[in-house]
Amino acid sequence: MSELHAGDLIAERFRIESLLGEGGIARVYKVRHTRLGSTHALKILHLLKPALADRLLLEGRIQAQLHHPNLVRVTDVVEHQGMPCLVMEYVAGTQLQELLVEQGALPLDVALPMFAGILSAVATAHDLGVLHRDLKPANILLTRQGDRWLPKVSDFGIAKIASGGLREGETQAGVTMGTPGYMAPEQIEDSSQIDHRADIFALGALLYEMLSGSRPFAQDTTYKTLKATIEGQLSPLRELQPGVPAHLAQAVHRCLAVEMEDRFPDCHALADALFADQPVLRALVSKLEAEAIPEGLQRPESTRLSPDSSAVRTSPEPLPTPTVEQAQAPAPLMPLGSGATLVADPTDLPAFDPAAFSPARQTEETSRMSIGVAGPGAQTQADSEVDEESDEHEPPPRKRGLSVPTLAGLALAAGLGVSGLWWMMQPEPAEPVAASSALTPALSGAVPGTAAPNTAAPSNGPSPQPEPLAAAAAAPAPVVEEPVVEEPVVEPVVKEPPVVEPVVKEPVAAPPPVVEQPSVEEPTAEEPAAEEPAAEEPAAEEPSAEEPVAELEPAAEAPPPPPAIVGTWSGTANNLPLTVQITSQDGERISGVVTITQGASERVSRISGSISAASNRLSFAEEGGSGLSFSGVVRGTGMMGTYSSRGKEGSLSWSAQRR
Amino acid sequence: MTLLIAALLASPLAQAGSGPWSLSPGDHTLYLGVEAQRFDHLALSSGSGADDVLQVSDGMQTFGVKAIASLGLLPRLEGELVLPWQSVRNNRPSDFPCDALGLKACEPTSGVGIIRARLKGQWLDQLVGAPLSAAIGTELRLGQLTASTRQRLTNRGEGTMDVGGFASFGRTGGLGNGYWSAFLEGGGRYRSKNRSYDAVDAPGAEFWAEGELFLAPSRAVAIGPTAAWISRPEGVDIEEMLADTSIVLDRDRLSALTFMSAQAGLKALVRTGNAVTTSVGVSRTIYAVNNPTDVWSVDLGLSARGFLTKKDRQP
Repeated sequence: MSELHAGDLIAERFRIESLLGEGGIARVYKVRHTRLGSTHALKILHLLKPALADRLLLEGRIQAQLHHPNLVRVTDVVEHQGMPCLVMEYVAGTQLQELLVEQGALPLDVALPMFAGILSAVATAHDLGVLHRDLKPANILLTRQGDRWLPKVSDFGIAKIASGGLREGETQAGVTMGTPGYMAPEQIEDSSQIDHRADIFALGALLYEMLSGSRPFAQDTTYKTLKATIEGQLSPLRELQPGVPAHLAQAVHRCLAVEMEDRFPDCHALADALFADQPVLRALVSKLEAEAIPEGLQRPESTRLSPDSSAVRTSPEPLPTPTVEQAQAPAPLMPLGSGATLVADPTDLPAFDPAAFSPARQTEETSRMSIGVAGPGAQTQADSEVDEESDEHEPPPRKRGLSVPTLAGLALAAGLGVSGLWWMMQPEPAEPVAASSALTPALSGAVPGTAAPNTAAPSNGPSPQPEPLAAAAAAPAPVVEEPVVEEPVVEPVVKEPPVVEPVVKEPVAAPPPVVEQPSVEEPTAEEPAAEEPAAEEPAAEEPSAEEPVAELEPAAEAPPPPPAIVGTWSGTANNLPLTVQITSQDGERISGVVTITQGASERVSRISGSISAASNRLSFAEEGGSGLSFSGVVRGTGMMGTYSSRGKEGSLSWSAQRR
Repeated sequence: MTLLIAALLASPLAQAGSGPWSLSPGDHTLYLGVEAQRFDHLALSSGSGADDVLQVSDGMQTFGVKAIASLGLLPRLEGELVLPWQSVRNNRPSDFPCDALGLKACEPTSGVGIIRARLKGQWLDQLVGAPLSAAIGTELRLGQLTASTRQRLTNRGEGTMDVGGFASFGRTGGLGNGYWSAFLEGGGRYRSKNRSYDAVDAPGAEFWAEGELFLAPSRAVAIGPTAAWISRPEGVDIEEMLADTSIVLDRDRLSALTFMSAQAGLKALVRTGNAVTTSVGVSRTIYAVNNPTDVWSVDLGLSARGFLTKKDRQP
C-alpha cells in the first residue's frame, strides 16, 4: 500500500493530517472527520499481506469490545485500497516512556493513581479473556487533563483471546512476542503457552520502572537482559527507592517472580496488594472495570473475578465495598507534585493543546523494543504509536555487500573459465608419435609373426620330430615382407632365415620339401614326413632346388592366432594412471574395461575392439558415443599406442604393461 | 544450527562428485559416510580468536550420516544426489545463552538435513589434451525438512530451497609410480527468502569454494590437504541481531546473519580393489566471522563404484 500524505482522503470521510508513527506492519496517521470535524487516529497496514489484514481486523474487533477510559478506543473500521484500517481514539499527549526518560522515577502520588488506571484497563481486558502481551511504557499513552495525566493503554494488536481462541494457528506456537525487560520468562521460552500472568509480570516491571526510574532487568545487551529475566536477577526496589512502602515493593517483586505460580493470580489480587492502604484507588480499579464491561456481556468463567471473590488475596481481609458516592465521585488523577489523592472523571475527554507539551525524545534502545507477531512472512516490528516529532530512528540492519576477497575469488574463477574457453577453441595440435622408434628396442627378442610364449593357440598334432637344420643352408628361405601399414608403430614383418631360427618346435621339412598348408587339425601321422605342416615357422621348410619359392607364399599359410591378451594391463594415458582390463577375447574380438584415474575419481568405461592376428595390432574404443578410441600394438608383456577422442583430430600416447 | 551447518557445508565433501571429473555414461558410485563435528566457541564479530567470542555453554556437537549417489548420464555429464541425516545437540540446553535466546534455542534436533541434487558437465578434459579439466554445474538444495527447527542454534538448516551454480577446475599428473591431482571448485547459490528485515533478505545469497590436493605414491593410496570456505555477505552481525528484538526473537533470526567460515584439513583415500574406495578426513575452522571458531570435523566414508553392473568387475 502506498504511503499516504497530508490531504489524502480515506473512505471518503477521513482526511489525512499527519503521520503519527510507524511500526513494523502499520502506520498511524492523524485524521479528521470531514463532516464531524473530530480528530482520530487511523492505523493502516503498509504491507499487503492478507494474514496481517485479518490480524488487524481482529485487533479492531477486540478493542471495540473494550470500553474503558484507560484504553485507546477503536471507533470504526474502514477500508482503503482493499485493506482494513482501524479508526481509533486520537490521544494527544505523550508516552509514559518519554515521561520516565524526562523525569526518571515518578512520585508515589503520581505513579500509583496512574498505575491504577492502567491496572484497571488490563483487568477489564483480562475479564474479557483478552491478553495484551506487550505491556510497556511505550504502549502507555498519556494525555493531559488540566494538570493531570490520564493513562491510556494502547496497541492490543498482538492480543490473543485466551478464552475463545482464534482459528487454529492464528498465533503460531514458537512465535515470540513481547519486549525484553517486560517479557515474562515463560514468554521468552514459548509465547504460545502464556496466560494473563505474563501481563501481571509486565505490570510489575512497569510499576518497578515508574517507581525507580530503572528497568528491572536491563543489561548491556539484549541476551543478557533475557538471561537476567529468566534468572530473576534484579535489584530490590527499596534499594533504589527507599521511600517505597514495604508492601508495595513486596507486591512488585511478587509480580516479577520467575515462576508463574508465584505471581498474583489476577489483576484484582494485585490491586488488593498494591492499594491495601488506599481504598479509594482500590475502589477505582473495580469501578472502572465494572463500567467497562457492557451490560449483559458474558464473562468467561476462567476469568470471572471480582474484588470480593474467593481468589487469592494479598490483604489479610477483604476491602470494604466502596459506597455509591465514592464510586461515582470524579477522581482526578494526581497532579504532578501534588500530595492529594484525586481521581479524575474518566469520562471527561481532554481538551489539550499538544503545542503546550514537548515530549522527550525516545531513546534508541526503547524505540527498538516494540515488536509484533513474528511468523513466516510477517513483520516483527510492532505498530507502536511513535510521536512524529521523534527523529531518532532505529538504524536499519546493515546490508553488507560483496567483500573484496569474494569479488576477487569470483573474478579469478571467471578468468579461468574464459581462458579455458579460449583454449578449447584453439585447434588441437597433432601429437607427434615419435615413440614408435623407441618401441623397437623394447620389442627385441620377440619375433614378429610368431606367437607369444604364452599363446593359447592350440596345436592338435603331435610335436614334429626335430631335424637338423643344415639343409636350410642349401637355399635361403624366402623373405616374406608384410606391407608396411600406415600405422607408424607397426613395423614391417621380417622373417628370419631358418638357419638362425632358434624355435625348437618348428617342424623340419623332409628332404623333398613341399610347401604344405599348415593345418593344426591334421594329424601328422596321416601325412608323410614331407608333408609335416610348418605351423609355426613357414621359413623352416627347406625347399628343394627344384621347388619354386612360390611354394612358400603366405597365402598358403594358415594365419596365426592373435595374441591372447586377456588380463589386466596397467600404465598411463597422457600421464594419467591407466588400467586396461581385457575380460574376454573371441578370436580377434576383444572386450573389457578401461579405467583412467583423475583426481580422487576414476573414469571407467566399457570397451570393445579387436586385435589383429597377423600384426598384433590392437584397437578398441569406449562404448557409448563420443568416448575415447585407442589403437596400438601388443608386444610381449606390453601394449602401447595412441588414443584420441572420437571425432577429433590428433592423438595422445598411452602404454600399459601386463600385471 | 545455521552456524554449525555453515561449518558442515564448509568442510570438504568426501569422495563423490568432487572435482571437475565426471563419470562415464552408465557408470555409478555410491558413497556412504559418517561425520561428526564439535565446537565450543562462537565468534560474535570477526576473526579467529577475536575478543568477542562467546562460550556456548558446554559446546555443541553434530553426528551425521550421508549417502551420495552419482551417475554418469551422458558423456561428460554427471548427476549426483546427496541425502544427509543429522543429529545436533547441546549438552546444556538450559544454560546461557541458550535460555536467554529463547525459542528453545539449544534443544536437540535430528532428522534429514538439506537434500541436494547436482548436475555437472565437464567441458575440458585433460585426458584428451586440455591443459586441465574443467566442469560447470548447477545444484538444487531442498531444506524444507529443516524448517520447523530453524530458529534453534541446533538447527540442521534454515528451511529454504536454494538454487546455485558452480565451476570446477583440476589437473592430474604423474608422480613416480603414482600420481598427483588437485582441484579448485567454487560457486554461489541463491536462497529463497524466509523474510526481510528492511533491506536485508534472510537468508541472503551464499558463496563457497573448496579445494583438494592429493599425492598418491600409487593408485591405491592418496593423501593430501583440503580447504573450504563459505560466506554469506548479506545480513547482520550477531551483535546487531541480539540488539534488535525484531530479529533476535524471530524464528528466522539465524537466517538474518552474515557470516564467513574457512576450514583446512587433511584427507586420505585408500582404494581397495577396483571398485571400492575408503576415505577419511579431518578438518578444523581456521577463520570465522559470526560463526563458530573452533569447529572440528571428522568424516569417514566408503565409496563403491559400478556395483549394479557386476560384469564390469575384474575377472
